[in-house]
Amino acid sequence: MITIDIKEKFFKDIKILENIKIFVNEGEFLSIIGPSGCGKTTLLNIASSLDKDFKGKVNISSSNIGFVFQDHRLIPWLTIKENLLIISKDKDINQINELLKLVGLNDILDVYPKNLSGGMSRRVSFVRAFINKPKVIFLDEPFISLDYPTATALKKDFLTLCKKFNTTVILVTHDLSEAIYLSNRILFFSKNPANQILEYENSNNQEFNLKKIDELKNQILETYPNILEGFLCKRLF
Amino acid sequence: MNNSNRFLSIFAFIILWQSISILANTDVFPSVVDILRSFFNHLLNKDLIFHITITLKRVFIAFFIAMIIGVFLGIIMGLFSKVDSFLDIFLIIGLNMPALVTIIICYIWFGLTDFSAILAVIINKVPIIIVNIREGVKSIDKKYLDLANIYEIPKKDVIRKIYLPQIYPYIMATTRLTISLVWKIVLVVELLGRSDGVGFQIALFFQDFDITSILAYSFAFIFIVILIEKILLNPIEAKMRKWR
Repeated sequence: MITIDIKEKFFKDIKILENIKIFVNEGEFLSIIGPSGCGKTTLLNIASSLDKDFKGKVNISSSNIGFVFQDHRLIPWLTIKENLLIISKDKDINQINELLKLVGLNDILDVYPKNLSGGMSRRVSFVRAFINKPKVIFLDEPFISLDYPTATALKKDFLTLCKKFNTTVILVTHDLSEAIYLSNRILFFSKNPANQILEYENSNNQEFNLKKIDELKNQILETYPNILEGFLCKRLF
Repeated sequence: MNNSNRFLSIFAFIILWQSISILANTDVFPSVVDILRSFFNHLLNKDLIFHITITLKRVFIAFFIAMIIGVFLGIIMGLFSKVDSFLDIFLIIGLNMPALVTIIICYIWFGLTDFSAILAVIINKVPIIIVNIREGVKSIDKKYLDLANIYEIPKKDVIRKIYLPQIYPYIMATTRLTISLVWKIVLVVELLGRSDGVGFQIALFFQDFDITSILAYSFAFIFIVILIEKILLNPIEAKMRKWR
């Protein structure tokens, strides 16, 4: 489904990625976790073909992809309707309305992004990622800077949308609990240059069970104490 | 509140002017009443409207052509650094070339015609338009282009809905600036080589030391330019700023 093979990637004169091979299966939810500044976003940009300046190869079985950026990235001078229609392939406003309703948004088509709260803007950016029914969605720490209840509700909404469209997802995050909740598989990365140091098959099965998530998290932290030291956000849900 | 303040400041200015003219008591500092009387005389004689119309025509032709060339080159230079570095030296020359020299050269090369007059204004004003628009293009936020790449937004939508809206404020500011600069330079061009228009009339009044008529003409013209700004430019700008 997705094959990422990065030999090396430089930023200015610094090598930030080296020998990275990732394979993602259809319908899989993969999380990539690593310290801040380790090149996660760069990796995602390469995987989504936003960044083509690297040595290696990326292969995605479909060009129909979605991307949720760290910021909501709604275009401020376009209304929500225009923001969504500009990227929509079939320009179907009914389908857009349906998706908005699915994440609890009504009557916002004619407003400008500045009139939406942070959580609402974020929801719209998720809806935008799904509009063209993409086969693959890339998420670049999209739940960062959201308060806990909003982030939790959004994660649930996101999983609903993923299941509806059988979407393959690559999520980049530094929040281990988040990765355990959402993903089927977690890849751990080190820094300078970023390298995969552990692959973890997650048994959580996308259940929002705080106790189970904490257990799994502690299990990982106990089994691989050094792996997380100094770089993982230890914040619990 | 803003409007009442504005009226107050205009009123204060009129009082100040009138007081100075009474104290000075000389022909070269006419009173407000004299200026108004002169204005209505010229209005009734129809010379004011005739010459203002001619000047306005020149202003608009020069303005539109200069804006089209300037905005186009500004966008190209902002987008392509090679074109920018190639044309930059001409831009610097253009910006520093005295208007007077451009006007005289145009009159010598192409004769004392309307064509020369308008060409001189265009040559003189295009560089400042280019500089403003180029800065606008250079400040375009590239992060929205990532969206265009990911979602394969058609080129025409990228230009119309992502590029242009970011340049609009610069185009708007440049429009205001250019109108105010163009009408002033058109007056100089008319003074130097045309036989009609506000600039020509002012030259005639100058020969007669008729400062009252000079002021009557000037205020009439300033008034029209302000009117254009209020009626034409402000509503367009308000529409464009809706999202802010």
